[in-house]
Amino acid sequence: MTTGFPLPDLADPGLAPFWEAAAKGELKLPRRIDGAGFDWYPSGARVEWVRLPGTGRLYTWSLVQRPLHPGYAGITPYVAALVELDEAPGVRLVTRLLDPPARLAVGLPVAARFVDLGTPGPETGVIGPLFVVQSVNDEG
Amino acid sequence: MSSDWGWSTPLESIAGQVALAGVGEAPASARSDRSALDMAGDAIEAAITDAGLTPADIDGLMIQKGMAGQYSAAAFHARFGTRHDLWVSDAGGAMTWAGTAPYAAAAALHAGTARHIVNVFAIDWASQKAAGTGGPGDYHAQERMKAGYELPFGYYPQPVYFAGVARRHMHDHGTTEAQLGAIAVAQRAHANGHPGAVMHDKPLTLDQYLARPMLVDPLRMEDFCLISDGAAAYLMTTPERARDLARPPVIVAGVGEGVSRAGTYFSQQGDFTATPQVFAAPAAFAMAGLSPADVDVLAVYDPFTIVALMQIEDMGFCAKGEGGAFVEGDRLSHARGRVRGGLPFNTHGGLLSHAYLLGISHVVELVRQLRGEAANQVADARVAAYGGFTGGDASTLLLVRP
Repeated sequence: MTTGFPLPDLADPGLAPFWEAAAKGELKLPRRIDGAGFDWYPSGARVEWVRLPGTGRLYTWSLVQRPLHPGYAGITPYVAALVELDEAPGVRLVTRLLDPPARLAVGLPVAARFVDLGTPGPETGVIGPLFVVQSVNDEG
Repeated sequence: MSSDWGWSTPLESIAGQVALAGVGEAPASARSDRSALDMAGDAIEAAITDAGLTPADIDGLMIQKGMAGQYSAAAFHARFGTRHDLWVSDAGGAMTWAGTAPYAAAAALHAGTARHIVNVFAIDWASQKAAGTGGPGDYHAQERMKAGYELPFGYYPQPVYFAGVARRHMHDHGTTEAQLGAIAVAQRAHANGHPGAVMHDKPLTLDQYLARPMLVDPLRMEDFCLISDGAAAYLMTTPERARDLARPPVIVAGVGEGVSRAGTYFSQQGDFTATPQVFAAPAAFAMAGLSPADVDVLAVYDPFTIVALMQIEDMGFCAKGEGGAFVEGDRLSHARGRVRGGLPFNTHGGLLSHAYLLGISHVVELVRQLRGEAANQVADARVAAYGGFTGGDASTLLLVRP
């Protein structure tokens, strides 16, 4: 196991479209050509990668008080989260909350922010969709 | 929640066809620097002795698939100085397979391929962890989609997965930290009464539990399994042959296996706060002609308190969502028993407080309960259930004293 921050293999064809989109500030997921919904995680089905609005609802979270992987030292404490995405039924996106409020609740509206995966610690050079909790006023 | 997120593996009935005629262990411990092979050999030898057999009588060996350092025919012969043919199957070991090994064994016993089969599992993760060479997170860290879509966000390892499950269970069902703590406390009390438990000398009260810091909120260290060295084995034969052996036989009444479509992608599992026990347990009870109300003692694979709680629900011991209230007080104590509304649970201390031997010690404990020789003996235990779990799979094994 690597001791550095665990980064995705950007050359993996099952991963590259997601991370290339993230580098451009876009959230894209693979939708099956046969109409059977999103292919998540990618299984090799025929898909098109579609852009999503990057909003959703907090499904659950884990507040990590101590790094359980040496690579996470720079981000700990942190909130790992699952988000139910708007326009992607059946997908729970794994993410991390950026600047989480002290009080969290299932169902809170959240929105993607494309930042370095190491934020607020040392930069990793890879951009990914972290999520912020939106106040009720932000909800539009 | 619809039930199309997994399925029950179709199994032919093996009710009454397999006896557990011997059990054995290598002592469980924290870091010991013993090798898994040596510990496995110790457990096998103890199981053979327990049954009143000799190594030359053993013609079947079942081991864990996909884990390094497990036993082999060569290791058996090297240790015991034997040369005979050994039927070897990798459909055994621990976790889910500690529950389903008797199913594969039944076919071998029926076909005459083997007469006395030992299922063994050994682990040296406490020593490996101390040496920085391995442990329970490695499988998940190396899995392609987890490495690509989960680890970059800090969603790793297992405590992070199951803290999120616990949080969602709390939201959906009102489960509390104190209710999770009740499981940890009950199992610790059982470990305190079991001389072989790693946490034998460390009491835990609910107040002490609640005062402990969160590691991955809402879970504390006491909600996590231990990391241990050790081994255990059980010896299977036909009920007819078992009657002539040294110990009172324990008979397999039912086996079930459940599978989640999402596999070990816990984040994507269809019913997020359930386990594949919802598919495994009904199949096992149907095979046995028994119901959860018939079970006198339950042992469940308990890597985290929340996983124990979900399986109690999913195996049908209470309704879904009512597990939190169910486990409160002394409900899980060996001393209370079913006739007084209890459910004696993980009476050796489980993965939380006995040792992290991945479930095979749970089966050994149930055999001892049904023989009436357990350290924390349940009065007049006649029916026992094991709940095995591997994340994407689960098994239920029902054992009876004839």
